Order: sequence, then structure tokens, then C-alpha cells
Amino acid sequence: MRRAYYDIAYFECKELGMLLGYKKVLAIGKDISFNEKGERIIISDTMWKNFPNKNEVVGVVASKVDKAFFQKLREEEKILIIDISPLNKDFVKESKRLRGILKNALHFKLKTALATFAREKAYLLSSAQMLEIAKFLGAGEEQAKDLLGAIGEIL
Amino acid sequence: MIMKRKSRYVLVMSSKPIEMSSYYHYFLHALSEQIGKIGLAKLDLSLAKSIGENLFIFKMSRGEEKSFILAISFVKRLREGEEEIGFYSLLTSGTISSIIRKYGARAGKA
Repeated sequence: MRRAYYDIAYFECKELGMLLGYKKVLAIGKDISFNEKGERIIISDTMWKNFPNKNEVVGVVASKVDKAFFQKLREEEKILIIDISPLNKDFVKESKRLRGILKNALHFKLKTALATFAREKAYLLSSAQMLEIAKFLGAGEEQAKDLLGAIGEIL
Repeated sequence: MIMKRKSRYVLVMSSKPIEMSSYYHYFLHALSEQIGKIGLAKLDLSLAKSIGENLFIFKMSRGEEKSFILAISFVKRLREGEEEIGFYSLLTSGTISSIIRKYGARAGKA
């Protein structure tokens, strides 16, 4: 059976999302909240310390490798989300950083997801492209599929 | 004897309409910035077919399609000073007819 893949973007794109091979592209501000209160909250790791309602947080966007923090996320069963948008700025430097995050997230057996966090259509990617990026960052074939499906667990 | 290379076809959609035949040179240049001249030569890329203004079928060497799919993910501008554009790889297949058939099925669901 074909797996369901998901992405996160800053805008709604239901039909385009389906053409790109996703079951759903979650829109920030509608389907999920980012760094603010809402129904399904995801926050950046820098917000974690001071965020008031940690119980309501479903996922954390990691910006660096922090083993103690990764352990905590595992205990609290939060999804670790890797934002791939920095790859558009400095591919070599950022791919090294993201590879480190992914390697450690998989080592800690965290539920991990990849997302584009696209602010406009030009920065969306198809599920086929995301699978290749996941593999480029060090995931195996099945792990890459898991990375694209993980966001479905917060729905 | 030189072995005949097998080909793969990749269906690519652009985020905005573009006349690919006119922009193909710029597309190749942008692609070579991602995978280099050797990568581009190995790809042996050609534009097989344009469908409308934002769907394109590219022909390439079999086995190289993954590097093509990865490379086009980071092509965001074809010409200096022009608007940003994104390219999405939608489907991969061994024949043009099969790629069109698969796309029809997917577009029907969307």
C-alpha cells in the first residue's frame, strides 16, 4: 500500500499538494500553529525553554544537535521536525548541519519529520524530491518514507 | 561495441508558466550550478516534450534521474533579475506514454 506523505508550508495548497504527491500540506496558521498558541502547536527548539504550554506542543523544529534535548523530546514523545528551507541559502554548510541533526534524531529513535516550510510556491517540493533529499541527508529508503509520513501522526 | 544507453523520463512541473524551449539553456546552466559539468554530461539531458506552459518531460540517462530530481529542487532562478521559480519532479517512467497516463490518474485525484 502506498504511504501517505505530508509537508508543512506557510500557505494553503490542497490541490497542488496532492499533485506533488502529498496527502496533505499543513498550512501554518490554519492546520497548525508555529511558535504561538493554537490547536496543534509546533515550536522551534529555541522557544522550548520559555514556551508556557509544553503539553500542547506536538513537534519541535530542531536547529542544532543537542543530545540532552533530543533525549527529552523522546521521553515527552514530541516529533522532531527538520526544516529543509536553509538548504536554499547555503547548501554545503546547511546540508552538513541537517545531516548531523538527522543522524542524531535517528540515533535517539525520535519520531522525525522533514518539511519544506515553504513561504511561496517556488519553494515547495514534490514528495519524490523530499525522498531524495532525505536520502541525501543520510536516511535509508524506508527511513526516508517514514520521515515524510511522520507529520501524519499529529493530525 | 558501445552499449546503447537506456533512458528514463521525468515529468517536471514549474511553479509558474514558462516557455521551456526558450529557457532551456538557462535551465541547463542553473542545473550545472548544482551538479557540475560532469554531472550534467552524465545526465545526458534533453527536453522530450512540453505539455502546456508548466509541464515538461525530460529525457535522461537511466540511473541518473535521482541526481536530477535532487538538483532541480534547488534551482530557484533561471536568469538574473527574474522572478523566482520552482521545479517539482512529479513522476518518473521509462516511456513518455506511461508518464502521461500516470499523470492523468494523479491529476484526476487532485
